Amino acid sequence: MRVMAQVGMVMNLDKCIGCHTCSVTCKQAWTNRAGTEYVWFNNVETRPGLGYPKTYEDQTKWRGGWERTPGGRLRLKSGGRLKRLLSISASPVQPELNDYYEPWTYDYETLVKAPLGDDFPVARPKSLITGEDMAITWSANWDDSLGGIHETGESDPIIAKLRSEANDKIKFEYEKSFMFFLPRICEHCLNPSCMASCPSGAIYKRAEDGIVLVDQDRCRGWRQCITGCPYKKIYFNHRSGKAEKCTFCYPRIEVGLPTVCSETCVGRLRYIGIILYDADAVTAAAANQGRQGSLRRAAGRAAGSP
Amino acid sequence: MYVKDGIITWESQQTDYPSTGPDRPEYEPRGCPRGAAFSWYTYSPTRVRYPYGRGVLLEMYREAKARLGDPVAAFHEISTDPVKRRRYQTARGKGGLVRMSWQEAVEIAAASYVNTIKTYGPDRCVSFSPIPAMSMVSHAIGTRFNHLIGGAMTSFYDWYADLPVASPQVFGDQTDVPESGDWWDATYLMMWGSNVPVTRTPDAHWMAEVRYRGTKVVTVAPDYADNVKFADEWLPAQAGTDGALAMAMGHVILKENFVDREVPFFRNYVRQFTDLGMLVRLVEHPDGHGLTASKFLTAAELAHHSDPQAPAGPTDESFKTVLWDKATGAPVVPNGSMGFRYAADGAGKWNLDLAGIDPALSFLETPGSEAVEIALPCFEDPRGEGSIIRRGVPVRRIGEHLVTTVFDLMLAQYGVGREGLPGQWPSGYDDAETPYTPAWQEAITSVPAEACLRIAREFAQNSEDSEGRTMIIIGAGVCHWFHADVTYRAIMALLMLTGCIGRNGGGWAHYVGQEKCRPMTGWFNLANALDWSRPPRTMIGTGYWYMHTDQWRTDGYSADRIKSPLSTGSLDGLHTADAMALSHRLGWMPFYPQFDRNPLDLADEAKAAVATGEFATPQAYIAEQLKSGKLKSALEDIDAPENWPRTMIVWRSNLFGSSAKGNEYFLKHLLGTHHNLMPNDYAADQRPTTVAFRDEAPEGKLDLLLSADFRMTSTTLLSDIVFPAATWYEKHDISSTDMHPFVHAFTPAIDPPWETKTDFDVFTLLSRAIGKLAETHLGTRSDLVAVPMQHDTPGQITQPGGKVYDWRDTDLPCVPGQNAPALMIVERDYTAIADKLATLGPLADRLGFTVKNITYDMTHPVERLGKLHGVMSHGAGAGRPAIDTDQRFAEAILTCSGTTNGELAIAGFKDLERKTGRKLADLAEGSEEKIITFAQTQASPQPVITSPEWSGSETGGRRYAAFTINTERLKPWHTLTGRMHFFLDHDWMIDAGESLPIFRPPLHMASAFGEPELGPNGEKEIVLRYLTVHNKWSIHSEYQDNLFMLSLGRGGPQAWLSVADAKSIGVKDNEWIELSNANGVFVARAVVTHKLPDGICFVQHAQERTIDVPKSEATGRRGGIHNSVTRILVKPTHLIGAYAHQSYAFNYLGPTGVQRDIVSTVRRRSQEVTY
Repeated sequence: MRVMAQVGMVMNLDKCIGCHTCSVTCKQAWTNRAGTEYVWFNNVETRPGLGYPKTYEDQTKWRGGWERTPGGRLRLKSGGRLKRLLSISASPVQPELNDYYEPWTYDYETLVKAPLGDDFPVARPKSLITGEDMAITWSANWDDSLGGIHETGESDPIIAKLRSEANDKIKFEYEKSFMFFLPRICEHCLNPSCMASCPSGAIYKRAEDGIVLVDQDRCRGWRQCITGCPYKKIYFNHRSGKAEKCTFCYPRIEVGLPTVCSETCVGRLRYIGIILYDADAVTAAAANQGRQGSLRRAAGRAAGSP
Repeated sequence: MYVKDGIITWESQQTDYPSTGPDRPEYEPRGCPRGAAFSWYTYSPTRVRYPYGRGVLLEMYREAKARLGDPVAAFHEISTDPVKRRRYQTARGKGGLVRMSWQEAVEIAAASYVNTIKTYGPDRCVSFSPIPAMSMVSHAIGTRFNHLIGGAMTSFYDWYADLPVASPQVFGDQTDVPESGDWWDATYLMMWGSNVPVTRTPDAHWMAEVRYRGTKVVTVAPDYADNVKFADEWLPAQAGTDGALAMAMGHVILKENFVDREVPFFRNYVRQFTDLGMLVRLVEHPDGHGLTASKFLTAAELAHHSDPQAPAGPTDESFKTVLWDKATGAPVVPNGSMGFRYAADGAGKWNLDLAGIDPALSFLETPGSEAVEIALPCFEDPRGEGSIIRRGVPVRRIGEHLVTTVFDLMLAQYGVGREGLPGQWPSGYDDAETPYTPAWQEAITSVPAEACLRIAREFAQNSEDSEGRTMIIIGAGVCHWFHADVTYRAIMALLMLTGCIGRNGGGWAHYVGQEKCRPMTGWFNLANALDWSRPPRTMIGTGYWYMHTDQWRTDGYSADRIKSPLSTGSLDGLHTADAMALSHRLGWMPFYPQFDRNPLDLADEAKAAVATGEFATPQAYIAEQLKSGKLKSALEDIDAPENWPRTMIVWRSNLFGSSAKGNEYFLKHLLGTHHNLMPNDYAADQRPTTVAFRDEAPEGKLDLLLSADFRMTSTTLLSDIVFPAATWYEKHDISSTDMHPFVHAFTPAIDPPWETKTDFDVFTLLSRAIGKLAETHLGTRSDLVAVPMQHDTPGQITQPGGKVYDWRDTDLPCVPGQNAPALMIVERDYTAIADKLATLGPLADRLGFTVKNITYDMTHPVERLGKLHGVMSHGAGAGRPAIDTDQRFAEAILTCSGTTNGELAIAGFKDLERKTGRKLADLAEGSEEKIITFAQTQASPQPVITSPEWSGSETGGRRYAAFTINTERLKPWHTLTGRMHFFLDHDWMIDAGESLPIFRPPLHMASAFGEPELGPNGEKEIVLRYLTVHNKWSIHSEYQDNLFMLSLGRGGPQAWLSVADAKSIGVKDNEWIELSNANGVFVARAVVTHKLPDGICFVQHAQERTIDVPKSEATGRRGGIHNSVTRILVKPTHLIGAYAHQSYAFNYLGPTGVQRDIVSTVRRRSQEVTY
C-alpha cells in the first residue's frame, strides 16, 4: 500500500452554461504566445459535436490511451515498446493542423491605415502559420451550440456508439434537439499514457499532488505523448518544438490559489480538492476487465475504501 | 489585472463581491468570456492610439484657416461650400484618416460646435452615448457638456428596443426588476425569450442552481437556445407568437382561479394592487358597432362635472378613478390615484390603503346589475387585420354613465364566459376557433394545447401555494418585436393576476440593457447639468433617427395600419411622421431641433416682444407664433437645411456599426457617403400631410461627426475626427447594474497609453476650446428650450381623459405646458462651459435635486464636496465645489444619491411619508450617517442603501425585488390609478385596440413595406424572418473584432439557418450567403443547424463591417452591418404622452427601435468572394 495525493477537479456538467470564460482566462494566462495560438489547455465542447481536435475520442483512429493485453496487463494502444522503438523516427499518429484548425489573425491595421479608397476598409483573415490570406473553415469551437452538426455530427464517435446502442433514436432534428457542454482540461491521470509514451522521460507526475507536467528542458519533441493521450490534451508548440499541456496551474495551487479555470468559472461548476489513493492498486484497477460493478470496486480500492 | 512594468499582461475576475448570506449561493465569480478577453484590445493593432482626422477635411480646413485666420470662419466655409462639403462627406468611411494633434482635433471640433450654435442653433448639436450605468462618469461628463451647450441628447434604452414600453404602461416605471440573486427565491421559473447563459452569463448560475431546490424551470423560445438545455420543459412557440401563448395561459388562469373557483390570495391582491376593480365607462361606438369600453370613470364625472373640453384649470379630479364599494353599494373614490399625487389636499392620501372599502371585482357580485354585449377588437389574422368579437359584461348605471369593471372587461377579452352573459364564448379549452383558448393558440404558436394548459395550471398553483413566488425572466426575444408592448402586457398579466409582482422570488425579471444607475439622483442631475441650467434637451432616439435619416420618406407603415376595427378615428390618415409631429406639437414627446429658427434668436425675439409690452410672457409670444403658423416646428420641414443636425459626437458607442437600425439610410442621408440602399418606391403614394416632402432627399446633413473610441469601428471609420479614448482599465469610474445591488469602481491599472485620454479629459478639453472661440463668436445668449410634459411631474395631469387636444387647425388654443411643449428661457454663457463642467453649480442647493417627484436637499452634499475637493477660486464656478477630475465626479454622484448617502434616503422617505401617510423611513434608518465613498467602491463592491429612488428594499440584507415597497408599504405605483394597469384608456390606445392585453401577430412586411411573402418562392432564394439575436462572442459590437472571440466562433460574419431552409436554396454549412431587402444587404457565412425551426434566420446582433466582410453581389460594395437589412419601425402608440403614466421621461418612454419583424431574402452567392 502506497498512499498518494492527487489534486482533482470535479465538474458538474449539469451546470455548465458553455460560456468559455474558462477557456479565455486559461488562454490569457498560459497560451497567448507564438506557437501556441491553437493551444487550448482548457476548452469547452458542445455535444453532440466533434470535439477538439476533431473526433479525438475515436481511438481506433488516434491510438490514444491504454489497452488490455490478453494476459491482463496494460499496453499503450499505440503499440508495445518494441514497436514504438522501431518506429520512433516515423511521424506518430497524431492530429494535424486541419484536425485542430489553422489559427489566424486579421490585417487589423488596415482599419487604421487604409488610404482614401472607394469603400469601407476591412480586416481580412490571415493565417498565423503562413501569413497568407485564408478562408476560415474551422476553429477552436466551430460547432458551438450545434452549428453545422447535422452535417458533421455523423462523425462524432460518441454519437455513432450511442446510435448503435439506442436504435437510431438520436436525430439531428429541430424538436429532437439536445446538447450539453463539455469543458475539458488535462485529466492528470493516475496512470498517464502520455507519460508512458514519452521516449525522453520528460513527462512526470508529481509525487506531492499528482499533477502531470512536461519538463520543457527534457522534451525532445518526439510527440509520442500526443498519440498517447486519449483526450488529446497535450499540444505541440510548433515554435519551440516542445510538448505543452495543462499544468493544473501548479504555481497557483502551490500558494493556495485555485486554478484559473475554476476561479473564473461563472457557471460555478468546478470543485477542486485532494484525493488520497493507493498507488499500488491503480494498475489493477485500470486493467480490470469486468463490467461496471467490479470496476467500481477496483477503483474504490485504489481510492482507499474497502 | 496583472501588470508588469506598466504593461497589462492578462486579467481575470476580481472575487471581492460581498456575500449574499449563509443560505444561498454567492455572486462569485462574475464575468464572462468577452470581458475576460478585454486586455487584448489594449495593445491590439486596432487600438486608436492617436487623434485621427479625415485627410481631405484637414487639408481644406488648414488652407481656409490660414487664409481666414479664424477656426470658426474656416469651418463655416468648408461646411457650407457645396463642393468642399461633398468632398469630405463622400470620403466618410473609406479610409484616408490621418494622424493629427490633439490641439488641432479639438480646435476643429470646437469650431464646428460654435458654427452650429451660432448659425443654426444649439439644438442642432446632438450627442449619443448609451448605458450610463456601466460607467456613469464617462457617460455623465459628455452628457453634461451637451446640456451646458444646449444640444440634444438622444436616448438609447428605447432606441435599442430594450425598454419594455409595457413597463411604463403597466407600472408607471421605466423598468424595475429583481437582482439575479432573487432568482434563487423563485419556486417556479420561466425564461421567456431570454437566453440567460448567453446574455446574462455571470448570473445564469442562479437559474441552474435554483433547480436544485426543486424549482421547475420552463423556457419559451423558438429555437433550442442555450437556456433550453436547463429547462424542465421547452415550449417552442414560433417566433413572435408569444402573445397568443400568454393570452391562452391567461384564459386558463382567469377561468380556474377567478370564475370556477376563488383564490383569496389572488383576489385580495388584485383588488388592492391592480386596476381590476376600477370602473370603466361603456359608450356607443360612433359607427354603430355597439357598446365599447371607453375611459375610466373618474371623480370628475361622479361629481357631475362636465367633461372639460379644453385642458384648463385644476384637473386632479379627472385623475381620480372609481371603485364600486360592496359595503355601501355605491361608487367610491379610493386613495392612491394620480389625482391625489399633486393635489394640494392630497397629502397623506396618495396610498393604497383601501380603508374599509370592499371593492367589487365584478358587477356580478353586486345585486341589481344588468348585462350588455360589448364589441372587442381581435387580431388573430396572421396579416394583422383586426376583427370584432362580441361578448357580454355586467354593468351598472351611475348617473348618465354605463359602467363596468376592468375585471369584467378582462374576462370578456380573454373569452372566459359566465352564466347569464350574452355573446360568443369558447365552448371549452379545446375550442380551436375562438380566442383565447389553449387549442386556439396551438395553431398560431405550435405549442400543444395540452402543454399550454398544464403550464398555466402549474403557474397558478405555484403562485397560490408560494404566495407569489413565480418568476418570469423575460428578454429581447419578446421585447424586440413591433408589438412587444402588448405581448409583454399579456405576459405580465399572468404575474399580476396571481399576486407575483412585488414579491421576492416572484414577478417579472426583464433584463435587456444594463439600465440601472443605482446612485440615480446624483448621476441624473449631474449628467443633465441640472445644477447649472434647466431644462435639458433630452430626445427620443428612435424618433430622432427616424426623421433625420429620412427613413420616414419610404415608410409605408402609417398609423392607420395599427388601428383596431373599433377605432373611432384618432389615428386616421396619420403617417408615422405626422404622428411624430403631432406628438411633438401637443407636448407629448420631445423633438429637436424644436423650431425652424435658431432658439437663441427666438429667445431674443420673445424677450423683445415682452419688453415692448406686446405679450405678457415669452411663452405667450411663442404660442401666438405657433398658433398663427408664423413659427413652425422643425419637424414640419425636416429636410430643410436649417433643420438638419449639424455637429454630432458619439462616445462609448458604435452607433453606425451597431444600433443604427436602417444603417444604410444613416450613411446616405445623415452622412452623405456611399450606401447599399436598394431602389424602393413602395411608399411613394403614402406621404405625410403635416410634414413637407421635398422631392430631393438630402444627402449629408451632418457638418461634422466626432467620435471617441479605443478601437476602430464602423463609427470611427465614418467619423471626421476620432479622439483616442482610454479603456476601462485606464480610467476612474463607477458602475452599477440591475443584476446585483452593488456599486463598484473602475480604477486604472495603467495610465492611458500613447496619446489616449479619458472621456472626462476629452470633454474638458472640448469645453475649454469652445469657450475660447465663444469669446468672439457667442458670448452669453438666451436659449428658448421646448420640452414635453414629463412623467413624475404635474405636467402629466394636464391632458385629462387622454384625449388629443390638438390646437393645429382647430379652435383649441395653444397653451405651452398644457397642450403644447413647455417653454423656458435658459441663459448660456458659452465662454464658461468649462468652468461649469468642472464645478457643482448653484441650482443644486438652491432648488435641490429632484428624481421621481421627490426633491432632495443638497445643502449637506454640497458642503461636504466643497470641503473634500475644495471650491474653485475664480471663473463662473467660483466658490463652487470642484468636480474637475473623474474621481471627484464619481464622489459627487455617490454623495448626491440616496442609495449611496443615507441622509438623502431618509429625507426622501420622509417626504414620501408626508405624501402617502405611510411609514417608510424605517427602510433606511440606521444608515443616516452612511455615505458610500468612491474609495470604498474601489476597495470592493458596496451594497447600496434602500432609497425611494427605487421600488424595492435591500434592508437587512434582503435580496432586491422590485415593487416590494408598493405591496408591503402600500405606496402607489406611479400610474393613473396608482395601481398596476391592465386597462389603458388614452384615445390612441383605444383606437389601436390595445386597451387591454391582446395578441398581435408579427408585422406583415409584404403589405407594409412591399417585401416579398415569407417562404420559398420557387427560385433559389427564400424569404425568412430576420432575427437579430445576441451574439455569444460579443457584447453588442464590442469583442466582435476580438481575436479570442473570433477564434472561438466562426471568425467572421455569420447567419444561422435551419437545415431545410438551407437545403431549399442549396446552401451548405459555412458557405457564403447574402441577406437582403430594400434596406440593404448583409453578407455572411451560413451556420446551418437543426436547432432552428424553418422560417427564421439568426443574424447575431452587432456584426459590423470591419472583419472579413467581402463585397456584396447585390450592390458590388462592401456588405453592410446586421442593421443594414433593418429599418426603423415606429409604433405610433409609443408616441403618446402628457397623460398620466403615459408621459415622457428620458429613456423611460418613447418609441422603441424594434427590428424583429423584418424579413429578408436569403440566397446562396458565388463562393468566390472579393474584398
